[in-house]
Amino acid sequence: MHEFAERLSGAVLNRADESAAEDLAREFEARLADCSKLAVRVAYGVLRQREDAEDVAQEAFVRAHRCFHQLRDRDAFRAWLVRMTWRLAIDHRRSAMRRSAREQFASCDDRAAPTSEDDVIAAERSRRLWTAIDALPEKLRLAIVLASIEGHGIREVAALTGAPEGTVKSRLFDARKILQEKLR
Amino acid sequence: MTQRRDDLFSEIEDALSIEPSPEFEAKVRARVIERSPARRSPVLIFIAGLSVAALAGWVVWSRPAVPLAPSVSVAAPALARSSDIGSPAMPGSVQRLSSNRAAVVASRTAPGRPTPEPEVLTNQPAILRAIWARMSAETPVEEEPQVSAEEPKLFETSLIEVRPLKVAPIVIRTLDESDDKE
Repeated sequence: MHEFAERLSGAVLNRADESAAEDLAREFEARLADCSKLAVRVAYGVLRQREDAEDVAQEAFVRAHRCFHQLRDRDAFRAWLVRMTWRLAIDHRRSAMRRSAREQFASCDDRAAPTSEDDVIAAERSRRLWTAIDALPEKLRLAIVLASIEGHGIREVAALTGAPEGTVKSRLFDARKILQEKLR
Repeated sequence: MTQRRDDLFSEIEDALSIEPSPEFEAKVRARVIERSPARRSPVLIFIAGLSVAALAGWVVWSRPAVPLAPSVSVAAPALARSSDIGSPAMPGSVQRLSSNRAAVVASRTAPGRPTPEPEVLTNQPAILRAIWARMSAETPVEEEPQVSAEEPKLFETSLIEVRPLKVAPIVIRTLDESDDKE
């Protein structure tokens, strides 16, 4: 923890004294504990692989740490983290899809293989759902993924995406409509 | 409809309900420490600086030599060849070429290199004086008097007497008239 605070003091141009650096480190720790689930789930919404999702989320946190003195506000930090994680996940997925060896794994869920008949039906349903979500335009996809995490409402999604509430409402409506048609 | 929407949302929520691994936060901390600026090796920074300096030096030294003054190519100017530089026939103003310019010219006429086109330095008054001196060898060309930095005093200047000039009447002819006369 002490070493972590030292690194943070370096990140604020060596101006803060040790106690300020420790405060900053403590705040970052709090954000890390608060938002790690959000970041991992956002990345998972794009990548569908736990390891890749965690890797991308960790990278987003490292980048957030670099400019943490500008992101001390909790809401600003969450919004920035969501957007950075989403962008990194999209980039990661594009680069992964270029590699033919990983192409097959990118589209399948990494959970345990289904055993019973119900599990098979659920897995098929999940596969269809993700195929439909992947086919959504990016803005609709981000809105529906964020609305499905931690019970976010329209206001929270608007704050996280930086879009007006009316726009988010419209995007969610469009996304639901498209998904319902595809899953019928 | 509402029930259907709720089902859809809960389905997506279930699909996204993964938890970060227990070592997630520790991995973030490790990455932060690993990538902090203080972690960068000073040796690497030194090598990077050295390579940048070497590259800059190479760019400067590999740049082609550019003549310091504009030059004019002529057909066969015997006087203006660069080999004449420094010879007694050339006036002092030409001999006082800057060492840089002389080095450029000397490098162009070095043995082993193809003879370049003859060049004339653009110190035209000096070159004209040199040509005149060669054509009339017995009359030496005088140097231009050096202009003094001090202004001449008023009482030292001689008065100039101006006589009235006689001017012939001006006759204007048209173009046709002049052609007829010719």
